[in-house]
Amino acid sequence: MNWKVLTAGAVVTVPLVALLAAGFDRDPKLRSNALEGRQAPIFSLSTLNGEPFSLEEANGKPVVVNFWSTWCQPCKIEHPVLLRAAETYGPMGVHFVAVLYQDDASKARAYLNRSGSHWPTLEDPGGRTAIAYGVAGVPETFFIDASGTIVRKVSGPVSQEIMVTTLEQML
Amino acid sequence: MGTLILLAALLGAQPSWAESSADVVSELASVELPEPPLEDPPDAATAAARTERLQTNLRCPVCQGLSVADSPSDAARAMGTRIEELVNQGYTEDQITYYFVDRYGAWVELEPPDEDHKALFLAPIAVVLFGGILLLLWGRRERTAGTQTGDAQFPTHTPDPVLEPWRARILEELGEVN
Repeated sequence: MNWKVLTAGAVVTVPLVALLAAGFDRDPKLRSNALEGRQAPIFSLSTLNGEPFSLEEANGKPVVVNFWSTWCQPCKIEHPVLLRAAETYGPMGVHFVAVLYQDDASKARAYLNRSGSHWPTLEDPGGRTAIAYGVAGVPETFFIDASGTIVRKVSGPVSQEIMVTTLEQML
Repeated sequence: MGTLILLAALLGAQPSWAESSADVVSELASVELPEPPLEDPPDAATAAARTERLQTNLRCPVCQGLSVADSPSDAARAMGTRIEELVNQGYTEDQITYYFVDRYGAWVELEPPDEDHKALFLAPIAVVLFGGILLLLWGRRERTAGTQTGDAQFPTHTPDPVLEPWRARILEELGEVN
């Protein structure tokens, strides 16, 4: 075996393979969690009933902000988890807020009348709040602790396990 | 023609939750921005040019490789309107780019800054150059070694005590044949 040729080949190829391998653990399609660990953007929106709501109202309490729409099937899968969580953790001081993402208020009202909700659903004209939170699809859920810091962002439907674990950590 | 008109109407149609203009702002809807604008609101021509540049350079968050300007999606339309609003408020291009990068990650820029990726592109070239130089140096050393030892590159024949009688016999018989 020609060790010199083998070594020269290894010197050239090993760093190249290592460079490529370094990218294997990064999914380019993965949504950014850049806001985790940072202050949640404060927003003031109106509910589907036209009442004002500001994130500041929840000052000092943990908040779960859920971006959703009626055309999103995973949101419908997630809905029962949110309902149970709001029933359990709402009385313990956790605020639940839903922000409608690129959807009509009338469709949302109809859906919520059928499926129920224990939280205010907010309209987001122009999607400014969704953009401020870096929402790139629904559902996306932000867990904000009592100090107003985003402790976790979940892209896709939140499972009961993640919901319970995260809320227990926040309380 | 009818199809074209219908298509234009569909593309121009705005859903009820969207806003057709940056000027239309719901009184109740607001979201705090991390910093104030660094400049005064620009004139219309400057604002249009900045908006177009930003919409071309920023990626539609729900598309595959499409800019905000190129994507017909609702998300891109909302992002485009937001860019226009921020430009008109006097936010600089850097401020707006940072605002989106801050939320969506560096991925949101269609052409991320060179400095972030220089190493990625230069490393393979550097490695190939390094390997080539190593090969060149080894080759030169081999040649020098060959020159110094004269005919050392040719294999020397050492008689094998076991095979030598057979070899002698083959040569003898070949001689008889010739």
